[in-house]
Amino acid sequence: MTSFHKKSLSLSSINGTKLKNNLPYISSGIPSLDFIIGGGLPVGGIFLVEEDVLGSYSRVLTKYFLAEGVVCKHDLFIASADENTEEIVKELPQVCTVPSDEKVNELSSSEMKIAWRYEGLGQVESSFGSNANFGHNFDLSRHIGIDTINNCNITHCRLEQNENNLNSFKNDLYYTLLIKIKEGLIKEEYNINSKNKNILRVCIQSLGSPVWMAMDCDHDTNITYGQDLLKFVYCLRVLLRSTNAVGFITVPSHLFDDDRIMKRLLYSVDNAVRIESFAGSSKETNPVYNEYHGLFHITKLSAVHSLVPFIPPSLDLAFKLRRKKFVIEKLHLPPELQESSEREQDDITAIPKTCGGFKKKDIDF
Amino acid sequence: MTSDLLTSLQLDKTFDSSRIIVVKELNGCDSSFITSCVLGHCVKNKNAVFVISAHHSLQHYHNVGLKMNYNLQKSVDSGIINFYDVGEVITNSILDNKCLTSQEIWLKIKEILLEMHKKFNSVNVIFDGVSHLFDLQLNIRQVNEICKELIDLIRSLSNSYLILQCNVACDDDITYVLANLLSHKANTLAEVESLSSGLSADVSGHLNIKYLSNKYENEHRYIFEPRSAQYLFKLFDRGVKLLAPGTV
Repeated sequence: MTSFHKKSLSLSSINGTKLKNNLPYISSGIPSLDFIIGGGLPVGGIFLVEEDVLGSYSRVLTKYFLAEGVVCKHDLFIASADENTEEIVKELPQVCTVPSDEKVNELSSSEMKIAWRYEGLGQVESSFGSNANFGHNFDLSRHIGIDTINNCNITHCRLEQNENNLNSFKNDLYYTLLIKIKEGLIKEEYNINSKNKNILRVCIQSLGSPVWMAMDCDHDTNITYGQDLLKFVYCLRVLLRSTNAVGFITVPSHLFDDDRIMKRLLYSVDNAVRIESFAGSSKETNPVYNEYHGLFHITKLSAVHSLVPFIPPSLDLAFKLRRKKFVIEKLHLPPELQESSEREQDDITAIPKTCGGFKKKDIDF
Repeated sequence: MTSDLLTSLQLDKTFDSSRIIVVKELNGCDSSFITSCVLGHCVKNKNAVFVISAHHSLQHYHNVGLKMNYNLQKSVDSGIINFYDVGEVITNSILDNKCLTSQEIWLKIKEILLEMHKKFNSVNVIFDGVSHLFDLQLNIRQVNEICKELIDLIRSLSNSYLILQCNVACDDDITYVLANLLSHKANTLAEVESLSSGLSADVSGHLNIKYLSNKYENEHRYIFEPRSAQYLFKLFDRGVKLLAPGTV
């Protein structure tokens, strides 16, 4: 035995975290999302999700993030101005105990007889993070029991407008929320140097939605539009960065008519993704996308405590939501299985005119 | 692995007068690698640096520094490097429902800088994340005023340099206007830009360095358009490698 002990070992003692670059990372609740953003969400950082138009998938992401927190016994702070946060907590999915379908399909060890040349090749896998043992999968059809929820340390923050005159913010919702987060962070557990550490998952749903913007728009000029939102996110970044807390924000960016707001917001956050759901768009019926529910865009990846940012294997990503899994995959075209009827000899319209045939353009319908 | 970058920014040479280096971050690129390289150079040569940071924390630079083989925290403790987290100061004032004026922000910066200058012969200054001042609801006039005062002060102190890092959100944004205002006063302009086609494991981005002050020097008097140096850069844990375009 030597007396040498790696200093970083003490840091990894928080439940549900892993160390990377001397910084704890937590899981977002979706193993494939953790993989594409470089191993999870860095503690002290902000993760931003640009909501899909109907907001249904971003809501699922929020639920996964919170459910993962419940499973890992992290503390939760949930804020929303649009809906009752207690309703969100009631619908948190339960963790899957049964191994997922993919694990059953173990690689067969038998030798290939015909296509033996392909034996040495690794299995092509378009979905990410399925063999990582960090994070959990959740079953959306079953909800976490109320007893478990009650045992968790959850802070609800229901925000309501007050007519306060503030120097720092025009919209007092932002100020109230910042103060509440600051009060929540006072606990010794969230101090990075404390011995008995725990993670605080700060989740803000639909930040900057019309309820938040209403006060911003009161003024005569349009110049200040979105300013409070930018200020809030920056202040949140400063508040969180030296603590054991992680910010998870969903923003309905499709409602902003000024796209500069989003570009400037991205500068203040650490990682950001955008969900583009096919629901209600023309892509819903496009055969290319029929395997997926939407596209998944990575809009920002930053290197925290390191110079080199994570490079995901692909930026063409799509997602599908199954009952027991939210899968993010490399977008690929569906296999061509049907026999095509487009062959020239089958097409009666392609017979040359000289043989009594007719041209396509002669057909009226 | 940082010497290429330091040479191209001319930080390894000594100049008689002070110099202003503006770093423009385009297309969401992060230029903190320049700060880390410069800090490493200064720590090794025992040059005093005043870091005004609005974007990254001291913890970030310290951890990056450890990988690059220098201990920033030690230098901060010894006083040769002063790390002033302007973002935290302003955020705390906002949480107290006060608003710091640009004048107050500047006076605090000036006070620390002059104090450092009394102790050390030359003090280099790095201002990280100037564009965050807009997020904190300062207007272009106020931000420009702070930068102007800082530039004037650095010019009055001999033999030091000022690095201003300014993120440009998009072309029609106020951050773009500020970056151009600052470039106008710069001796050297470095544009860092991430690849527009996506992310690559081989190259991290483009680095375009323009030596704007060359036109005032005798040897470049008859050159109409000063040539800029264009590189590709790749980031490593231990530093940054500059590559000539097309040589990856």
